[in-house]
Amino acid sequence: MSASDTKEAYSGARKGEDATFEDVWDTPKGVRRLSSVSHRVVGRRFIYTGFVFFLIAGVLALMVRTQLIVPGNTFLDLETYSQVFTMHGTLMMFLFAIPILEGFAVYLIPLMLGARDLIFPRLGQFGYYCYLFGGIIVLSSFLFDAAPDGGWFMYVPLSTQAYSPGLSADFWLIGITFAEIASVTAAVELITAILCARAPGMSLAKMPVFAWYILITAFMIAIGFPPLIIGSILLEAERLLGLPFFDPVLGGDPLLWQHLFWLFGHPEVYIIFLPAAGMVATMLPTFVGKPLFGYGFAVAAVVSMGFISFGLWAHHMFATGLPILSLSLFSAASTMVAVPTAIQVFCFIATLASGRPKLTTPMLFILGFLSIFVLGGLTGVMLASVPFNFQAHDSYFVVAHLHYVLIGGMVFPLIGAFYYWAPHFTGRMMSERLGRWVFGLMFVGFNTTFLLMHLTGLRGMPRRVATYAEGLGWDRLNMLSSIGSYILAAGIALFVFDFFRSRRHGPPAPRNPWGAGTLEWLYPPVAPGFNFHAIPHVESREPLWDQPHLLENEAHEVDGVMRGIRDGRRETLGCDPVSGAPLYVLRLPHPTWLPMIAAAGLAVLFGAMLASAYWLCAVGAAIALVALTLWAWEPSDSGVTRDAGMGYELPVNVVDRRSHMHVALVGTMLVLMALFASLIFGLLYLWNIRPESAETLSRPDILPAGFAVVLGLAVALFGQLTRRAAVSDRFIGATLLSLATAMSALLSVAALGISLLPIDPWDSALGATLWAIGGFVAFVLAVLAYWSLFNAARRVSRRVGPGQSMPDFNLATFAKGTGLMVAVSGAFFIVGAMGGVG
Amino acid sequence: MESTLGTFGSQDTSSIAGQAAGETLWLTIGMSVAGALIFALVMVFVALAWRGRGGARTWWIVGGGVVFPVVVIGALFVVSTFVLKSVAGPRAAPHVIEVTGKQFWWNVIHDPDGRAIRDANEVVLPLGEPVEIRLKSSDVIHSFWIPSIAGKMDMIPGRVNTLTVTATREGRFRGQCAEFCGLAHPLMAFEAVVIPPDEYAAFLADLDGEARDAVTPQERRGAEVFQSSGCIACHRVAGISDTRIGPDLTRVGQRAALGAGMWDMNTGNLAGWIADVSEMKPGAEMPSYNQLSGPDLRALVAWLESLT
Amino acid sequence: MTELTRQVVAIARPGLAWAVHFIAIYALISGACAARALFGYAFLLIAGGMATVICAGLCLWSVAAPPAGADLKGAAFWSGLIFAMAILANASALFFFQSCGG
Repeated sequence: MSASDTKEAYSGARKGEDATFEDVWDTPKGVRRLSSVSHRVVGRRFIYTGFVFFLIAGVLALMVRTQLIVPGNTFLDLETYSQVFTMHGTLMMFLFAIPILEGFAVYLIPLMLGARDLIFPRLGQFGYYCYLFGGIIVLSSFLFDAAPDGGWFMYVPLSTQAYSPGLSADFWLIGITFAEIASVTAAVELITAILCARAPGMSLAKMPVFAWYILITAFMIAIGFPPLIIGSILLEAERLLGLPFFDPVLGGDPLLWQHLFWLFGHPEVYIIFLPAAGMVATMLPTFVGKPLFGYGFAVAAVVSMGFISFGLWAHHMFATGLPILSLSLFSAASTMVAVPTAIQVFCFIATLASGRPKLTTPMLFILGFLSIFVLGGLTGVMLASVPFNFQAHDSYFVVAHLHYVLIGGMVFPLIGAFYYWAPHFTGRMMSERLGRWVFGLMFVGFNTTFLLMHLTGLRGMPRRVATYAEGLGWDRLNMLSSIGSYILAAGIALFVFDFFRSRRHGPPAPRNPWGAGTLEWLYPPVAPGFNFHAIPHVESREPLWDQPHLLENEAHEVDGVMRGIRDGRRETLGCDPVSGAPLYVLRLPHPTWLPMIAAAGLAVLFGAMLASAYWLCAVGAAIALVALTLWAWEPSDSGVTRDAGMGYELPVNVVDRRSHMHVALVGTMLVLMALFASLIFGLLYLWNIRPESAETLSRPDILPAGFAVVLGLAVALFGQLTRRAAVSDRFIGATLLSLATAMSALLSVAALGISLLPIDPWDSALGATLWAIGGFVAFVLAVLAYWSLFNAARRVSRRVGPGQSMPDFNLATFAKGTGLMVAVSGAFFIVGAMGGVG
Repeated sequence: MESTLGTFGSQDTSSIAGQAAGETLWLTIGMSVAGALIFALVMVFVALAWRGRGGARTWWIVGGGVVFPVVVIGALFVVSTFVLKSVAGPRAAPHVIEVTGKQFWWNVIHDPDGRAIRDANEVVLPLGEPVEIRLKSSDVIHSFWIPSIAGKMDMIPGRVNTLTVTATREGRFRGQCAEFCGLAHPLMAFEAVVIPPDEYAAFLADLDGEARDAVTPQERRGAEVFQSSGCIACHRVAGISDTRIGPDLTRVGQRAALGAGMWDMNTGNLAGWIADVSEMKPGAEMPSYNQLSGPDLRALVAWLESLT
Repeated sequence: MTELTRQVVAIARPGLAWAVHFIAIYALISGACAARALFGYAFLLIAGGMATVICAGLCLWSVAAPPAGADLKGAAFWSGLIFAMAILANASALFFFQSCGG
């Protein structure tokens, strides 16, 4: 027992010894349920909200098919049709597919890995409300008759002010960027949760394969979303401020948008596919009764897909006039991704053969997935062939291909997953009999709709046409496709019916109803507010199969770590990222309204931006900042140890490189670096393709740019010194060094700004991009300065005590990354000043 | 919005009238057959696996997941590269046509480096001779696609893309904008007319001159209406007006289609177009001239139809 | 480093090598084939060839010497092999065409 173990020293660190485990984890009732931070609540909210968007987008799809059922139809006018297909794609891609899969990951990952919650519960709540509010902003455009109508990939110049006056494009850019905050926060959260909070003994090699899929997906989101976020910000800046990033007259290029969009857009397809494939890899072994065959193959395939999918983006741009060498490169890369895909498919097939498969409803959907997705993959290989792509691109062939991949690769596994995990949501089983009908209708409807579209496309029908002429050979094909879509919709409707029916009338689910091997079935699936009274030791990838004692006892009596701790706090086990060895007790926050308020502040900010009420923007930003500050202003918990049982004496919230806080910070730096790299890509791209514009650009000032490089290094140095002072509990030194870090950060902003003063950002795209780089780095520096001052203020106000140096520890890593960005930007400015720009 | 399209040629990647489309069709057929066979094979494998009863083998994954795909895609990549070289490789072309995409029609200039002969919404190609088509855009991104002749190529503001095509069959073939370009994108088509090379020379010579003189009194009245009602503010008719905002009408009566490849060129459609263009093609920049009197409208239509 | 850490490195290394190689090839093509025409095809081929040899080597390291231990050895081996093939495929783009033209 250390001196710091008293309530006086760390008020708020404990909430009393009387509270039972169930009390501590109890989900708040009534309206206060909205303040819940539990992954079970937040995950289900993501899933249900995502499903609502799916239904809305599905109705839009039916409107599209109804319009196209006969040539020359007048069901929708041209403008409505453009809005409908744009919103269909936008909702499906941004507000349905990714959020609902993240919802499943948020819900399942802690349960599968033996954690009591995701380790940043407030971040989960914050992300959910960003997603909800962003989605509402996008949808509300219908009410203002300003629904986006430029296609879900918003090509410039069509989406610029000149060709899309009004607010439609702004609704898209602002609403989607807002909602994307949820994807990025969830990515950081999932990376950290998978690496830092696993059951004792669960090394990376013993991790359920679903966690591998989600881990890789989360990394892909962290790298893949930034190009789109940067692209959206640049486009919004062009619309709102008139900065000419994409304007060819001023040295910009419309293709820069396409590069940034598809740098996101192609990995996005795999971001959608991988979690769904992970669900298949989880469900399949249950119904075969044998573990996934070829775990090593699957891991290698997932890792290589994660990388290779970033090297394919330009195959969406084969017809834009790229040099033939680029065509050849992207064609080769696009065909190669077939290898890891095929490996996964054959892992699934081999798993089927390794036991006695049972034809349950989820299994039907897995078989549907296999057949549809394989066909979609094969047409994908066809599209990777450049000459064929010249014909098929932007035709209905591509529409068919992408729906085969996305519906086959994602929706079928998802509906299967609903049947499989439904007991978790309702405590009851869904109907096997109705499930067969759902599958039959969906499978027949899907293939009727989309198989024929391959032919429609090869017969020359371009996508995104609201009407077509009679007699071009498309009439009957479109009629059949439309009929198929109604059958598909009937399948979905029956599924919704079955879900609601089973909530009341389904047979109650027994414990581990399917005989699965993974930990989420340890407890009876009537959703409680908590996971794991004690976290069991895990010795295999299928603990429920290989450790029979887990199911022999009542779930709450299962032996494990963390049972005895009675601090009245929510906590779970922090582990070593690789070996899974217990490392520390990870304290978790309790229900709070702050994240919701922060998200609401951002909603005000973005909504006011749409309404051009800029004073209200400031109010929204202030609300968000205050909420985030209060959020972070909690007492620190580290510096004490607890007996976690089973012979583990563990520190609380260890200050270490392997701490969840630090791992999350590294994840965040990854996102920031990807944002920065996207801007640098834009700079080099424009410099490379528009030399004549670069020649006329005024040059940055060399002296302040040189200062910026030095100051960038100073930021990193002071950050690191603060860490050292804080870790060795030097109180005054750490405070002063925090101030020095903040000061050098602010000076860096000034140096970068002064260096750019000679350049008029409205004059050329290159100049605007240099200012965008300066602006982005200045924003990161402002965060750094604010954080340093925040740390100093906490220290001065005695909110942190000895051994509680995690914020300073993290700040050092953040300062090093930021310093690097400053130095790189400064170096670019110097090169520009010395004439390298021309 | 209802189209009355009746007499148009094919818009089909399998009805071949161009060298590139022809070579690509063989690639398409080859890949489709191979793809179908592979699909069937995998499904048979799934069925066998279902009855496998514990017989999974690692070599299935190595064979089916690595070796087989590498062999197949390696072969595909090589074949496809040779087709690519053939359809998109550098080639000398004796003719040049410049096509500029506009919301929502096509500005055409034959021999842009020489005589710069203007036309619109119809691309006339000489049979069997390579033509370099220079693709530009003056507003948003469009995509130039004649499925029967060649694959598509985008028209991007600030860039000049080229597509070299060789037509292999005489006739009329329909093309369409393939990149969503705004409201009337579905109504932005055109025709490619393939004629023998000697006729092509004659066609250019004819187009290079001034428009045909009005002959009948009604046609003369039509020409007057054209000039007095403001049409000349946008449309060029060689010898009468030289503004270049809207499509060139010097030979409009000769074209088979109206409204950028959308409606049959006939008296009724033409009159309807002039009187009510915003109903027929929402998003088109041209205003509806429903204030014209009946006789004036008929005269204007008669004169325009005589411009061949 | 523990056995498992070495295996994780052996899984990730080929991916990073692939990423470096892809960026190198893309940058070389973009440098040679855009308006600036920074260098010619010969340089492209030599630099691209060198990048290919080095990066493929880094991949094949995981194939030739996957760290011991059964846990993720297979994953390291196949990761190395898949990425090595992907690198060769990307490089092959350079050998079919002798100019940027199209």
